Amino acid sequence: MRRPLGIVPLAIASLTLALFGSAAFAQDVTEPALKAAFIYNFARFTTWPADVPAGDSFTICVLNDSAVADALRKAVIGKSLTERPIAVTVVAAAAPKRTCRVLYMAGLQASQVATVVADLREVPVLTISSIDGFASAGGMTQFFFEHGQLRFRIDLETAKRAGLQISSRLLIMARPQ
Amino acid sequence: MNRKLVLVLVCAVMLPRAAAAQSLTDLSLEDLMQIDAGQVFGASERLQPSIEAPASVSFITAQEIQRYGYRTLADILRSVRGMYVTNDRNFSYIGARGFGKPGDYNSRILLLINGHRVNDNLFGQAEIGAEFGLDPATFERVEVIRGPASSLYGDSAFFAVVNVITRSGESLNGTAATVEAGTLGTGLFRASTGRRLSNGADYMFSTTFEHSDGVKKLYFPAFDSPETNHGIAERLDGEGVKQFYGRATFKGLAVTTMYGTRERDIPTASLQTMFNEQVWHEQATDRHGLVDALYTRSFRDTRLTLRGSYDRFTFSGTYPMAVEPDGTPTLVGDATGTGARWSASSGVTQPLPGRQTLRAGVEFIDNLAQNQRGGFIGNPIPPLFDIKTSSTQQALYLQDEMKVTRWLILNGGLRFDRYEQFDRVTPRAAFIVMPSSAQSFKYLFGNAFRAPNGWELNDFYFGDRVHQLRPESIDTHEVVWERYFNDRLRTATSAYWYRADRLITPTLDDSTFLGATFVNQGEVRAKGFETEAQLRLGGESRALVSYAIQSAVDQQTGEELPNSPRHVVKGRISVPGPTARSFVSFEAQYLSARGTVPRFDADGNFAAGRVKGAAIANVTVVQPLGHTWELTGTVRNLFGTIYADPVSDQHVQESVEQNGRTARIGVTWKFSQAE
Repeated sequence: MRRPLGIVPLAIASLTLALFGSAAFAQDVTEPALKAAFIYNFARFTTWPADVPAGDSFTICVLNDSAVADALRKAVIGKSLTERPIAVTVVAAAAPKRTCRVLYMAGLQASQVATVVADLREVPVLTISSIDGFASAGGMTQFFFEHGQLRFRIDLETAKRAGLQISSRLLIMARPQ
Repeated sequence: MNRKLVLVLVCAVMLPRAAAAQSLTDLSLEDLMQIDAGQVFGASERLQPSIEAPASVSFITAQEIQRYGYRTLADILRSVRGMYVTNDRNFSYIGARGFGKPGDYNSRILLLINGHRVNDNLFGQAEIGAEFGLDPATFERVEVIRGPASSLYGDSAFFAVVNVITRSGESLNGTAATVEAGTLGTGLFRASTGRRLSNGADYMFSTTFEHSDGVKKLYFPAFDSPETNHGIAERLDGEGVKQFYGRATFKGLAVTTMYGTRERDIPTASLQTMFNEQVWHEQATDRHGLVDALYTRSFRDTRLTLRGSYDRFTFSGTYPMAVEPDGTPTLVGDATGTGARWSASSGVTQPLPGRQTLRAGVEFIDNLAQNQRGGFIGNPIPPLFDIKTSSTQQALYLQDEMKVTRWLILNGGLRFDRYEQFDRVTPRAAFIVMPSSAQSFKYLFGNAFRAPNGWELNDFYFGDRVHQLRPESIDTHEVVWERYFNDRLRTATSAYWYRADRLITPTLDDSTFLGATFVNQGEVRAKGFETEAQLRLGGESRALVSYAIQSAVDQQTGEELPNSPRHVVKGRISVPGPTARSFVSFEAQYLSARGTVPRFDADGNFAAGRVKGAAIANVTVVQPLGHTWELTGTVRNLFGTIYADPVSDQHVQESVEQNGRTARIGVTWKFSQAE
C-alpha cells in the first residue's frame, strides 16, 4: 500500500531548513501585540519639549484596553526612552493624564473621546487610538487596518500645538490625512 | 505508525523553540507595516480580529498568491486547511467538511467579491476555476470563513463563505505587464496599472488573456473501444480566458467592475455526448459581469453602508449527440442560461452601551432574469424549452456582539429571508472565551439554508413536482481553540458536528423528460476534527501545516458520501531565495481515498468505486532581476503523481484523471510610480 504520509517528512525537512537557515522573528501576531509594537515605535520617534518634568519613568498610559496594556507591558520589558525605564499605566477616563507621555485609548464613544482629548489640548501627551474619527476629534495618531495590516495617520498640527516633535521617519510612513 | 509519532513529536518540540527568539518591538516600522494581524471582514460584515470572530477563519494574502504561483481561486482553496477541490475537466468543485458532492456546482459555498455575493442566480454556483472571471493577481486577500453564515448572508452560506478582497491601486502602485508560457500549450498576458493619487483617490485596472491547449491526448478507459477512438480524446482539453478588472475609490465610495469569460472544451463526453467528436466539440462558455458600488460613511460612532450592484451571468454550451461524418449536426444540443440581478442593501454598525456592537441590515434582490433555453443546433423546430423567470427577494438581519467581560464575548445573529415561494429565519450564536488576547475558545452554533436553484427548478427536465421544492438546511455545532504563542506560532484546532436535512436530492421519476426529479429528502451527518499550525519566521519565511479528519454519512444508505476523503493533510513553506526579494515556495497536499458516485455497472449492480489516495507537490520560484523585472517559475504536481477525481453521474467514467507534471515560467516588467 502507498504510504499516505510520505509528504510529511519532506515538509518537516524543509521546515527544519527554514528554522535554522534564517534569523527567527515572526510575523503572525495578535492585534494588541502589533499595536503595542507600533505605540512603542511612535514614542521612539517623538521628541517631547525639554521643560516636561522628567519623572522616574517614561509613562505610557492606556485607557480602556487591557489587552493592549498587557501587550505593552510585555513589549517594553527592559526598554527605556528618554533614558528612563518605560512604565505602562492603566488609567480611568476621569483620571488626570497629564503625567502620561503617551496615551492610547480604545472602545470609547465619540463624546468621551472629545472630553479626554479636549482636556489634553496643547499638553505634550502623544494621543493614539483606532477609534473612527479620532483625528477630527482632536487626537494626534489614528490607527486603522488596511488589508489586514496596521496603518496610521498623524495630525501634525495638533502634535505641534502640544509641543511634540515627530520624526520625519515616522511621518513618511504615515498615511496622508 | 511509529514514524508518524516521531514526526509529530519533532514538530511539537521544534515549533515552540523556533518561536522563542526576537520580539516585535525589535522590528522596524517598515517591517511592522508588513505584518498581517489576522483581521477578518466577512465573518461579521465588519473588520474584527479573527481570534474574536464567530467562526474559524483562514486567510490567503496577495504575497502568498504570488509566492505559491496560484493561478485560480481553486488553487488557493486547495491550500486551506480541510478544503479540497476536485475537477472534472470542466468545472472545479469545492469540498468542505467532508461534503464534496461531484457535480453540485458549489451552490453550498457562498462566494463574495469585497463582501458582495457572486454566486449566480441560476445555478447558485460559486465558480472557482478560471471561470470565476477574476485573475488571482488582482486579489489582495482571500478570507475563508468556515461554517454556516446564512444568519448574515442568507442563501448558499452553507458550509463556508469565501470573501475575495480585490487589490487597490496603492497596492500595485505602478504599471506592470506579465507574459507567461508553460507546458500544455499555455500562454498568458496580463497588463495592470494603478495608484493612489495625492487627493486620496485610488484606481486600479487589470486585464488578463490566457489560453491553454490542454492535454493533447486524454485516455478514458470507459470509452476504450474501436468506435470511440480506443478511449482517446484528442485536442479536446483547451481553455481560453479573458478577464477585466477595475476598481476606483474616492472618499467613502468604492466602485468595483469586472468582466470575465471562459471558453472550455470538455473532453469527457459528459451528458451522453459523442466521444472525441472533432467538428462539434462539447463545449461550455461562462461569462460574468459585475458593477458594484459601495458607499461607507461614519457619523460619530455609527457606520453606515449603502450598496448597489448589478450582476450578469451567462452560460452557453454545445453538446454533440449525433453528427454526420461530413460534420452536419443531426443532433447537437445547444443550451444557454442567463442570470441577471440588481441588488441594493444598506447596513449600519452601531456601538451600544455595555461594550456591544450591533450590525443591522436590509437587502433587496431583483432577479431580473433567470432564463434557461435548450434546443438543437441547425434545427428549425422551436427550442425544447425556453424558461423565462424572474423573482424578487428581501431580507432583514440583525447581529449583536457583546463583550460581557474582558474574557467573554457573546455573539448572536438572526436573519429573515423572504422569497416568493417561502420565508426563512436563520439564527447563529457564538460563545467565545478569551483567557488572554492571544487565546480563544469558541463554541459556535450555526444554521444555514440553500434555496433550490434554477437547474433544480427546471420543470421541463424534472417535471412540475420541482415547484414543491423547499430550501435544504443545516445545523452545526463547532468548538474552536485558537492560540498565538509568542507572536510567532499560531495554532487553530476545531471539532464539528454537522446535520444537513431536507437536502435536495435527485430521484428517479419516469414521468419527467430526463427520467428523474428532485425531492427534499437527503439527510447527512458529518463530524470532523481539524488542526493547523502556522509559523511566520525570520527572513520572511512562512510555513503552515494542517490536518483534517472527517466523516460524512448519508443517513438513508448508511454509506460515506462520495468524494469525501477521510484524511486531508497539507504543508507549505516559503523561504527566501539567494537574492533579495526572491523566494522559493513548496507545498504538498494529500487526500486519502475517496468513494465515487454510485452507478450501475456492466452487471447491472448499483455500486460505487473508489479512487486511491494521492499526494501532490508544487514548487514556485520568484526571482527579481533588478528593480523592474521579475521571473517566476512554477512546477505543479512536481513528482508526476497519477491520480483521479470522482465525477458526477452525468459522466460515463466514474473518475477523471488529473494533470501530471506541468510547468510554467513568466516574466513581469513593473514600473513603480514615484511618490
